[in-house]
Amino acid sequence: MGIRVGIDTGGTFTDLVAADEDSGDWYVAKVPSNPSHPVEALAAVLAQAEFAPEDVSFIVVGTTIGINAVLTRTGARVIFLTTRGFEDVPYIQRINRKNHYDFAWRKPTPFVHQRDCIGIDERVNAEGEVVRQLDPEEVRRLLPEHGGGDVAVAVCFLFAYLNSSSELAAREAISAVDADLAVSLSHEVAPIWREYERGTAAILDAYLKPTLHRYVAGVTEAFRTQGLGSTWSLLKSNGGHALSTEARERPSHVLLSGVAGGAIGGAFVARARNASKAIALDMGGTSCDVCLVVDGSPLFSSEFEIEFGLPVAVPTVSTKPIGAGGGSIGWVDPGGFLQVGPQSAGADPGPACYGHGGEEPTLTDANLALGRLNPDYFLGGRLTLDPERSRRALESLGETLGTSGVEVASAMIRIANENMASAVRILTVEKGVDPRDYALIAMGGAGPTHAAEIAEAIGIQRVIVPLHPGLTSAFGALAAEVRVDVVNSVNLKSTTSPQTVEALLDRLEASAVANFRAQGSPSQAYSVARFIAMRYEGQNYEQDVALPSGHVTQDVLSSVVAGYHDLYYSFYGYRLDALPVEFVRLAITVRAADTAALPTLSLDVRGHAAVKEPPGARTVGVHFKDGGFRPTGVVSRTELIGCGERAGPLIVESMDSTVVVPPGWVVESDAVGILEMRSADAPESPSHNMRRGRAST
Amino acid sequence: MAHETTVPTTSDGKIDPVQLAIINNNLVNICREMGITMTRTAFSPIFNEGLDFSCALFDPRGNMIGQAEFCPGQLAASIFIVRWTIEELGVESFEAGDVVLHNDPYRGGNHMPEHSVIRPVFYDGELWGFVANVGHIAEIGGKAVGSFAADATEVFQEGLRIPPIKIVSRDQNNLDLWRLIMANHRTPRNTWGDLNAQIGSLRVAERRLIELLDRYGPEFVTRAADQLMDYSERWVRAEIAAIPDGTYEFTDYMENDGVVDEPVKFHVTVTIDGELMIVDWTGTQAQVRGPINATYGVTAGAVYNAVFHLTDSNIPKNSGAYRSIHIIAPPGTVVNVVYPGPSVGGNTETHPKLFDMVTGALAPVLREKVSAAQGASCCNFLFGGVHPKTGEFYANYHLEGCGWGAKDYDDGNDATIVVNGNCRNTPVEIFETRYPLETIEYSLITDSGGAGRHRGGLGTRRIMRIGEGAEITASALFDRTKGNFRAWGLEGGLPGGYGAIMVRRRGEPEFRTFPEVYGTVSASKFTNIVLKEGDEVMLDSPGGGGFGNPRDRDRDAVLRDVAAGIVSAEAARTLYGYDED
Repeated sequence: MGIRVGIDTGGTFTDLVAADEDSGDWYVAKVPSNPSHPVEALAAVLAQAEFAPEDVSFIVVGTTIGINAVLTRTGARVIFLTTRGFEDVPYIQRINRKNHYDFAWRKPTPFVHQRDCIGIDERVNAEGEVVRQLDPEEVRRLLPEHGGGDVAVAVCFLFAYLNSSSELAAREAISAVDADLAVSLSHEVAPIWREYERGTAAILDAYLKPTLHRYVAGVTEAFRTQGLGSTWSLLKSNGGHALSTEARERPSHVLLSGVAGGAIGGAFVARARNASKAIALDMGGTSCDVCLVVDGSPLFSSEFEIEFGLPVAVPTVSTKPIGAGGGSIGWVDPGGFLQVGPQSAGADPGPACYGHGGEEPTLTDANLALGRLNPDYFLGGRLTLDPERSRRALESLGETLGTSGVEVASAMIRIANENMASAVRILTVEKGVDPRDYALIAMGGAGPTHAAEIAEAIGIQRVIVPLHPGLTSAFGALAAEVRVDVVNSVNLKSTTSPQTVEALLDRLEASAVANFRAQGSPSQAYSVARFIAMRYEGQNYEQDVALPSGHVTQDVLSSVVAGYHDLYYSFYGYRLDALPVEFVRLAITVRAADTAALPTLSLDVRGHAAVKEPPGARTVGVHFKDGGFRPTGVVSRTELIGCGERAGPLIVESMDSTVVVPPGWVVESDAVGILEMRSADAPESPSHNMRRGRAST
Repeated sequence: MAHETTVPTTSDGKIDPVQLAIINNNLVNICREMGITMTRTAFSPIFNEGLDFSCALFDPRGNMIGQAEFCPGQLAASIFIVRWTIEELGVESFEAGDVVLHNDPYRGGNHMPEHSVIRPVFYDGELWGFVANVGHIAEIGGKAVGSFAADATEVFQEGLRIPPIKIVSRDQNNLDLWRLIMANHRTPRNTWGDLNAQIGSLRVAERRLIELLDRYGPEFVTRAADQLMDYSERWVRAEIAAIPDGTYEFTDYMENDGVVDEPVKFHVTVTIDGELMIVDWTGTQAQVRGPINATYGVTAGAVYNAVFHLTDSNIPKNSGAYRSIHIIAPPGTVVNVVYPGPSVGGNTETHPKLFDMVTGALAPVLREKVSAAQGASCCNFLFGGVHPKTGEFYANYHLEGCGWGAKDYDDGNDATIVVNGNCRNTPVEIFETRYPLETIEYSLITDSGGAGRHRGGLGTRRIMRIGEGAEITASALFDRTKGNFRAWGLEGGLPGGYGAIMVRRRGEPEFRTFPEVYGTVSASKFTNIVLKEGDEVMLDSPGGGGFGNPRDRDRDAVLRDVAAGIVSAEAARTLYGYDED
């Protein structure tokens, strides 16, 4: 027992949320991020936290170190070994274009130089048989000289996901030359078919290895200096955490560490409020990410792209950026339509109202001009906003459109909300679900300000606002569990013998369990889930179907294939029972069987998350799309606990975000302070009677 | 009936631009949903991996009021197909739940593999509009496996032609028609799955459209659609007005038509007259015997595609965007084929050529926007056979990316799909899992990018060996394999590298052309050649043209290209004047 700590390194702030398992106390801390010295922000946020280092039992860190190295292109020199004849595959890519009508678009630049792509004379065929044996001597001979600087090797041979012997032999040969050289093998990083995607994952893995090793060493040293233990964990892209010494060996699986926390935090809130279907919407200063949460777990995918054409085909919580954040800029296109984003004023200069030189109107300016934000209590008073600058920026845009600044502000918010609503709709359509059955979880500094109106545009009638929307990612790091996901492409049919399927699954499970054991789970008990991705022969998109536990028999296989037909029918309204079904991927998830329960959630926290207390209840003029400015009550979040339902329009202020309850919506707090907004004509939500926000994992 | 949202408008009926943008957003999203449904459920790889389809919404007059980011080659044809269908069947003949199927190239289509399905949408008993999509079905019969008969001389050799017919009447499949169609295709299961995917997506679109009409009311959405078309028209007019008035011409050639080994001449005159653009193809030669003839839909689509590359990408792509562009394509020429001329390759090979000609004509006045010629060939390679391991028949439509043209401001992209489509390549691991061919090499071709101050993109080389016990029947439709037909450069930039399709028969020392080995008329276009175990085939895609004098190229860029193997040391010296000291 002791204090458990979750830390999230965001683009603007580094946040900490901690829980004392003995006393039940909650702690928060917040310091500016320092992208050029990420370790310093971690040390600073721990120093700010009001607990003694020796009481800390466990730390999980969500980090953007990987994605920053990718975006700034500051990773290692990668030497890429591949099957001879295919050296150019990282440059040829998939030949499709990002946009249809754009001469100026450039194909993405791979993380390896063409001169470092080296062909090796070896070949495995589509049946997984070695056709030409790799000669270790050739690998040793062709490995280029490398001088100073970070260097790592990536290996991707054709069909290595079926037979890894060539890749393993290559690693051995490389070690014989230089035992310290980091090596990433494609079949270990992402054992999937499609050589470009698998190779790119291996290249990225190697590209980040030296950076991640240095980061882990730096953080370990900083923690030690502060009197913390040397054992700590990193949040992985799949939302599970792993010991830092393990996680650093597979950097491509840590790439989205910083985003995963939000999804895990959103899933936690969904569970706490019994929302079996939820959309976690994390809207910050520059972007908005969404993630579907079903039955308390975020959805996963292996389809993340760093940019168009640069995939990272490893298991990842399926978040999707859908555009606008508070800093998104309003502008007029050449056809005379108002647009919002994708350009953002970012943190510097930021919105016009920050007074740091920004002159273009942003969503934050629009919210301020419409009375939705309190200029003296933005981010808990951390920033003082200048409404006059917002007004000027909006009026100048209004002149272009022949309308007033207030009308422009209202239009910007409607357009941004509509765009986000459309993006959410498309995301759900891709998953084959109807978004109107979902609850929206409003996270990030700007999420609660926009959530109800976005929900309205989608047709969603229930919005949940977590206790600390701006700290959801750090909270997610704290709430994460140890989790290992392993996938393997296969080429089988539903007529394959159960023994063959079981043997493949067993092999995969053994490797996943070994990995789990190495990752420092507080509990060594685990549960295993097994999936087969299926599709009708000839189709291109597959669905995961879960296998029951126990032996794979003919009956079991028949029933999961029947399950696939049912799933297809529920998505598309027809089924093709007579067609052969292909098995294209096996997947294993191993997770801790029992997660340590967190103390009861509370709005009452210790630390510096807010600079000052929110001002008391009052009435201000707030503009809504139907009916202009109207008198609107403003209350602080703590005042809502235990006082039943309040009708909109209403503004609820708290230390890290402002909740807008539009006309036609009601809001109610549960006993710990989680808010639910409901469209007034919606039926009462099924979880309404569940008043206790206890951690209920 | 009462609608959820009442929207204020001004006395002249003008809808507030924010509301208009929101309606546009909704219309585009309905098309996207249609597209996602098709991708998820279709069976042909060209469909579900190649994304060779388009989804659109129409008003009752056949104006396209919304579409999303779909196959640029289908920009125009979808409009002509829907209009033709309304005119031929009569607007009163549609009933709720009908689906019309249509692939006739002489009735607005691009080429026969593209099948359109059209469904009327009724609201309160009135016809409100149509939802429609066009998709490439991979195998539709005809003389060649894969239905790309590169030596076809009549439409009858190109597959099964279907005029507008109701394949579904009031939500009941007309099974006789289904059976007739499937009996004429080589892979009927795929056809069946693809058509179901297309028709299923129409139902999704219909539902979403009706929800939109419920929300805003049918009259309001109609008015919004009209105003959105006006908005697109205004924007395109403003863009055209910014181009200096004048008449600009361009002539280009294709190496042959697949039947007669003679060059095929194309000519265009682009006139900018204030806010109007007139694109006149008079001077293009009479239609040819082989299948590179373009339908009017292909020619118009190529023109619109070029205009959209030269104007703002945010212009909503509805019928209004096309109003100020006038196209003249004399019937009976290569750019407007008449019955019964063949046209399957017009859509893949001629579209990109016409596209390049429109941008090439405007290069003198839009030099900062245009690019040199693209490799501009789909490099269609089609084959089929019986898999020696499974005993099952397969057919595959294979294509390659080529080098794109350089621009005043940048090099061209390497290995990128033609401008009229947006297909992905097939990964080697998927290819070899499905087909009995082993890939030996897939690489970029050194020096295939046209030299220039900015360099054209590189073409690719793929070498495949026919596997043990296998035999394939192959057809091809390429261009730019010889003579003066390479991708042209601009302002002193040199042409891109040649394309090629060659063969090395088992035991032979070298690759040779198909005319040399098999006596085909054309080296780039042929049909039904049988390749046997151990034979190797090599596919080279053409490179893009260069822009500006190669000797003006930045020296560091030349050095980088040499280090990366993009440019040889020899070419660096002779073409770029690079002196290693």
